[in-house]
Amino acid sequence: MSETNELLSVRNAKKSFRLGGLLSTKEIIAVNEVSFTLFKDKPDILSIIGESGSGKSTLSRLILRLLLPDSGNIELEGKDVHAMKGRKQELDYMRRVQPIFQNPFETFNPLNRVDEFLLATAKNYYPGEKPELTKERVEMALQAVGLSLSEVGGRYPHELSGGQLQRSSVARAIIPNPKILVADEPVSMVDASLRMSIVNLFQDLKNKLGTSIIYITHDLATAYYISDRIAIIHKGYFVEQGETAPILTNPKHPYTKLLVESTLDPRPGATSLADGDISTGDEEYLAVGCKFAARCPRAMDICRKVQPEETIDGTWKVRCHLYGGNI
Amino acid sequence: MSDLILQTKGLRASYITHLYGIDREVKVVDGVDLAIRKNEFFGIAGESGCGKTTLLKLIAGFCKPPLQVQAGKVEFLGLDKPLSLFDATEEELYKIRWRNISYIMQGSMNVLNPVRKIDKSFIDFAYPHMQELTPAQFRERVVGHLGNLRLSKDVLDSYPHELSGGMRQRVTIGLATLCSPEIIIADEPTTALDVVVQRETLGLMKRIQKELANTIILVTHDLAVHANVSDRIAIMYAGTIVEEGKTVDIFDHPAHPYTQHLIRSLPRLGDKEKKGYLKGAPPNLADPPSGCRFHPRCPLAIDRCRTEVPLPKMASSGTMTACFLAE
Ligand SMILES: Nc1ncnc2c1ncn2[C@@H]1O[C@H](COP(=O)(O)OP(=O)(O)O)[C@@H](O)[C@H]1O
Ligand SMILES: Nc1ncnc2c1ncn2[C@@H]1O[C@H](COP(=O)(O)OP(=O)(O)O)[C@@H](O)[C@H]1O
Ligand code: SF4
Ligand code: SF4
Ligand SMILES: [Mg+2]
Ligand SMILES: [Mg+2]
Repeated sequence: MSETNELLSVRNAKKSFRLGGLLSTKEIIAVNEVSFTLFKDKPDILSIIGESGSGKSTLSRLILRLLLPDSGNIELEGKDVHAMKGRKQELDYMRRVQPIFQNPFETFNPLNRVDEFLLATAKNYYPGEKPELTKERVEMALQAVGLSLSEVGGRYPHELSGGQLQRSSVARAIIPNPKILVADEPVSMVDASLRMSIVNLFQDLKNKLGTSIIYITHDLATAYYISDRIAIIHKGYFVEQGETAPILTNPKHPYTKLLVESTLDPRPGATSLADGDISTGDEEYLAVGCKFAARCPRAMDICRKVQPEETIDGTWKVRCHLYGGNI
Repeated sequence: MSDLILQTKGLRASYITHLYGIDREVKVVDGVDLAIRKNEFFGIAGESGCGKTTLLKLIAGFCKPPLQVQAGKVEFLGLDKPLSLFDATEEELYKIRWRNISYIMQGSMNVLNPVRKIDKSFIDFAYPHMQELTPAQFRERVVGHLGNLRLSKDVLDSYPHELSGGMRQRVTIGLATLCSPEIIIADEPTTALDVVVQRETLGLMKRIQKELANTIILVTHDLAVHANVSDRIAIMYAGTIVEEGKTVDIFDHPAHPYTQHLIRSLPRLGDKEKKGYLKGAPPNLADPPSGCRFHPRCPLAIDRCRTEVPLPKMASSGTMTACFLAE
């Protein structure tokens, strides 16, 4: 079993938080029974889609080793990432899995020059290397994102445009040649035009460098545009997952349907703008049975009592009592 | 009787700062003529930093240093005679705010006073403008109004942090619409919301506009939003309006190269066709390009564009377009 084809496997990951302080007895399970796999022989862009407060960032922090799961495990090429200890193993992990933050200003220290920061990053991953070689690594990373040392050289973060800065932050992430990028809402704060340049960049990285990307977003249109696979997350659970195009053109789960209906079609008057009921916040996390039942137009009695299991319906997985022959 | 409610004529304004003895002028609004009608949903689009928020401030009559008006005027046409906002007295401006023109600022759902319950915010902001009502009548009016926005009256006894983002945005819309103003100005009201709540909020704004038969001026960089709510759109680039017209015309036959690019690069569910993006960054408004401000990024630029400023003219598509090549 040493030669596994599994690049990253998340198995039954679970993480809970106490709501409202340590003494509170209310607990939410922010990420619950989440499982998925990325494979070595096939770089993928996997989109993880859900409204805010559905557990997306918690899941990304579990993968990035910033949080310890309560149960379940996360393996990188067959090794439990949370069992990796010490500087060497840590560095080894970071060479393979890199984060991209929502706000590129989080990546860069405003007082440091961007090129110096990138060079320091390269030195950190490849210590003891000749300076020319380090410089070449940075240049290559910048070129892969459509920039160059001559463009960003000598400049501070605030001296770059938003697009250049977000690209530089992707360049930082690809310096060690990672196998996986974990991008948590990388385009939520940027304009439509810049957004397309970033998602196109992800596609290039996948196609040219073979990097797999976990693309976390609430924007279904760009997810449709770039991703091969998709997972819809609702209050900690993956409620539907599989290939992107069939799921988004023909969703099965009522929550996926709601997301698809809510996505604005950029053609005049193409979206019906129901002034519907307000969506709920954390309360859904506390629901017994299916967490979506309070908003689901198809909810049945069983939904309010029993949490649906994940079943395979046709070619993809769905977690809903309407599927899998439970009723 | 004119069907206009507000117009700007030859509006020019800059941020003028003196930093370390250096004078700096950022030309943010450069010759803007807008004629906004009664009973319409008017959209303003453009990349971040192009001057949308500044233009809205001027339209709302907020102009204080470092922002300075250099030329032109803004006229509110909803009174017996036109009121020039930059010539009006503080008292005249105070009278029309909230009652005639209300302004939902960018990020305003996050600036509700965190230590005041929502009912106090209504009293702080709106009650001074509705002194003809007794406190009890005022509260009754607020409760009825919130009901129309599908907010229960419990909201009034909550603190802002106890409400979801969507509910807070509904509260700020409630504040802005309580006095049924002729003009509601909204700056990126749905940019921070995710898909489901965004659609609900836009549906709400569209319904309010129809019910009040008033004017909403909506700024967002997101053209998919404009496609679904705006009757007419102005496209802004580097402080100038480059194209303006009916939403359908702008989307179906964009005449300006910048608009064409924006429309072509919009992602859409069900569309995997490769989208381009605009190379280069928006210009530095402290030192804007000569001639057509778009020329450094324009794929169609000709010699003339580098030296001459194109004036808006009616294109065959029916939109007003500031480009030498538009026909
Ligand atoms: N460190 C934490 N402590 C307590 N609750 C948390 C913590 N991090 C996240 N949560 C809660 O977990 C839920 C999911 O949050 P998050 O993973 O950030 O969702 P998303 O990224 O989808 O918006 C939310 O209800 C949030 O309040
Ligand atoms: N208070 C200010 N002082 C100096 N420059 C400013 C100030 N506010 C905005 N600017 C500059 O004016 C330009 C337009 O800003 P803004 O109107 O906020 O654009 P938008 O809303 O389209 O993003 C930007 O280049 C910004 O840096
Ligand atoms: S399990 Fe029931 S409530 Fe949940 S999504 Fe399916 S039908 Fe709706
Ligand atoms: S005037 Fe010239 S540079 Fe400007 S948009 Fe038209 S073709 Fe392009
Ligand atoms: Mg998050
Ligand atoms: Mg703005």
